Amino acid sequence: MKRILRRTAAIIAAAVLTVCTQPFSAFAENEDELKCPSGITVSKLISSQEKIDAHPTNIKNSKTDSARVELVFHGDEILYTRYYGCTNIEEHTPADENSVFEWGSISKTFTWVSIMQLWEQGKIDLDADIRTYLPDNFFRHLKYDDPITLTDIMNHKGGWCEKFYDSTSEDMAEMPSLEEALKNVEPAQTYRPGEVASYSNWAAALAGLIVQRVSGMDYVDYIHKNIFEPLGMEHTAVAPNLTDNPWVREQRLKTICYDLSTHGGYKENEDGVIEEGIIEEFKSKGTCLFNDQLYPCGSITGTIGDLATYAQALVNDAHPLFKNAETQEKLLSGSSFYGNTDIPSFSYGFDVHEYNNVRTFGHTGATFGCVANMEFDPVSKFGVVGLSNCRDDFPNYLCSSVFGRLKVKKYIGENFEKADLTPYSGYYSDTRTHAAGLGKFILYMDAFSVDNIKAAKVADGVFLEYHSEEAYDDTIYSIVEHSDGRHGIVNSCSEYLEIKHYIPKLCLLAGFMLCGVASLFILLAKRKLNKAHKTAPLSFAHIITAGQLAKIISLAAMISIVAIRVNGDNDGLTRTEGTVIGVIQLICLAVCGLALLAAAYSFIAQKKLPYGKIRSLSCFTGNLITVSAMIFFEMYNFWCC
Amino acid sequence: MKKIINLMRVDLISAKGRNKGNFFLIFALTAIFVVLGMITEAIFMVFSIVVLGVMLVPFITMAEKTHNAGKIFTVIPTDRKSIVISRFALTTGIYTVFSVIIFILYLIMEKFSDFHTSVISKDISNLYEVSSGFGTGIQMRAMTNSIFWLIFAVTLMIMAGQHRKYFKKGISSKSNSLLRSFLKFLGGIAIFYAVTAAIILIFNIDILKPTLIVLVNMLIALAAPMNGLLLSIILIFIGFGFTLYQLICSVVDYEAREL
Repeated sequence: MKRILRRTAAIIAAAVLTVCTQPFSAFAENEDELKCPSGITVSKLISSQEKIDAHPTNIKNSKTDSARVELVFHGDEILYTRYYGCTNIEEHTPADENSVFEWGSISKTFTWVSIMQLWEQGKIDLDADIRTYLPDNFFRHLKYDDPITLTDIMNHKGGWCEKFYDSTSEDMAEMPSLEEALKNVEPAQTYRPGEVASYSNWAAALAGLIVQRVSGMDYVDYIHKNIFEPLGMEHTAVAPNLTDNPWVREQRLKTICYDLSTHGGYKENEDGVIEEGIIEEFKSKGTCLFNDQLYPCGSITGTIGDLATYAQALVNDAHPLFKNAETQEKLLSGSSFYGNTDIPSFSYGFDVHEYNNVRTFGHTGATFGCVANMEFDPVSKFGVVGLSNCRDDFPNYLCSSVFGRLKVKKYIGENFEKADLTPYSGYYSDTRTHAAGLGKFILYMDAFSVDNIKAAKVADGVFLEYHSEEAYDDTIYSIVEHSDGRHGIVNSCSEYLEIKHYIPKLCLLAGFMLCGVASLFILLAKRKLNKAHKTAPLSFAHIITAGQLAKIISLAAMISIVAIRVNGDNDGLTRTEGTVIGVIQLICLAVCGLALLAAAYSFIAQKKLPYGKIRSLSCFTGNLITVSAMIFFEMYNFWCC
Repeated sequence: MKKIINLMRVDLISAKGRNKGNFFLIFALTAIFVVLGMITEAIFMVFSIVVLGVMLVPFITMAEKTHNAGKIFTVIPTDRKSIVISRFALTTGIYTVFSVIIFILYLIMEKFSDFHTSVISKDISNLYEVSSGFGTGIQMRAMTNSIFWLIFAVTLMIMAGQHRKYFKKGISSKSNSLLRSFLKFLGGIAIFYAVTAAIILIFNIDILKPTLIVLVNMLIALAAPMNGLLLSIILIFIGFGFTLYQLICSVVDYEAREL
């Protein structure tokens, strides 16, 4: 009995001691302890992440999931790195510090940094016309004579729409020079320079060519000498085939890329019980290594450590990438703003995110196989970088832990004011699309009306989408009016541009498609009547029939553009494919034009036929719609798109 | 024109006959869906037009099976083309008028949707609006309107197909019974899904995907403006266009057929 009492007393004493000492060790928060901008202490962030990492389910899934590598830094110090998943699921190769991934569009920021380096050296004027730095008659598809500046290009306001043609090379032996590649796939300039924001890979690569020409060095050499070497980035390559760093190429070939698909099904839980749930499947896409001819816009490949080194340099007060601190400050000071506010929408090629306590800068990236994220706060010196070999697994999980919540409530307040968008009523479409040539029709299939948007006012002409107290978007938009009277809704470096007279244009496109489908049935009906010897042909019946066939072929050619793009992972058509489709459309246009004239003659001619006038008129209308649509949507224009 | 109207009368008279059971069946089924739409979600009323559409053609031609009334057309002084046109015009007319009435009823019930149980609840509607994001998705109202006229057009095409089959092959006790035609309709949907699944499996979607992308994008683009009115007009045009095509083919088939 005594023994039991002693033991009980000992347990109670131990419990009291434990409880009494806890507040002083675990619950007390050291005021001097480093805190993330979100307010959470670094030690708490790390411990919570380590708990997640150590969870048995996480350890188990890490062996069967694609890789996601994330890193948090503060100034020069790496606070936490998480290597999750496999770079090769089939061979169970776990991600580690030597795993390399493509950084995608983060590569563009290397071009912007290079531009700023040359600017501080006085070799480049950001506000001069870029034609000063390019060979004579470099551009073939310029619509406007207005000067295009490097500031415009850094803000994605050069005026070019999305490029239509493929710019990848299977064989490095066929790889053209950067200048040739840019000329080969030059997109149409559809917007006035300096006005409309339209994200452009082509323009970013053009900036790379300017770096090359102004510095007198090959772009790859320039990046190595002026960025990689000063920062000690030994595990990063920039050349399209990665031959500038054989180690990176060797490591990259070991990385397999994946698509993630989710579906309902049965799976075994932690206790070995089969239960219903969501099953994730990673489908291998192979190495997804491609040689991009426009390499300055997205070819950089490297380790998470090197990406962190680069991001750390941009928050470093010693400004290792620039001679003057002012250059770095300018780079991250904002180059375009939302309306009349001081909220930057974009900063010399860097994305800007507004959190409750901090404003971060950075860029995201996506290639055929990988996705990447870089975000840092130059004031608190905190930063997060992430890389993944699965396009469906964007590596920004730690951003909210480090930076906190996005700054929605601070802008609109608790009792938000509704923004009136009725003066801007109309249909808008994303500018990052094909606005000219063979693919112009795509623009009209993605438009939307602002009348359906519930907006909360941030400032005059600045708003964010607001559904309810619980559901709101954190993306800020501002409304701009362009010189041609059209409105634009701007977010970051993207813009939704107003389409004037959208519904008649959409009807024309729908009419074109309907005529194609109707022609198929008309031809079938004609065949039936021919077999039954009941035909009563109009004048020039063969031309009219050829016109109906041309409508079907033209519709098929239009759909084939989408078919080729989908099968080619949306990287565009080859020149040959574009030319073939364009020539087919030109022939169809000519045939439909002739059929239009034939139908008009048949209508005027006094040939007595059953329903002759109605048939001639419907034939005339069908051909008129088809010809008008083909001309308006430039379905034949394969040379400037 | 008068000849065609007279032929329609003949059809209506012959259909009246002893088809009360079938008439009651159609009436009951359409009424069930109308009531269902009134007390739950207004869009469910669209099923009433499907029931009417699918059963109307067999109902009109039923008298020929039960009363051998098909012979009437061999003795009355008229051409076969007029018979085909009158039959198409009668069924299409009844179906269109009924669909318009149901659509008006649907619009009225939509106005009072707050006062009756909503199956597609407000939460789901809100979630849809939020997930569509920045006006890029079509509005729920535009979508339901478009669905109504899509179903109208598809049913119209099925009716035209039933007519053509009748004029080509005539009536048989098996093929044109009401239940059988309804089961065939369901079977057709099952076959469509099976064939689509087979093509997806065999061709790994590569062939279908781009066409579907164009089609779906175009449908969404057309459905977005004016609460789906634009897409609805186009769907109605497609429905009547296909009916016209089947009408021409039916005339040729019927004229070539030995009666």
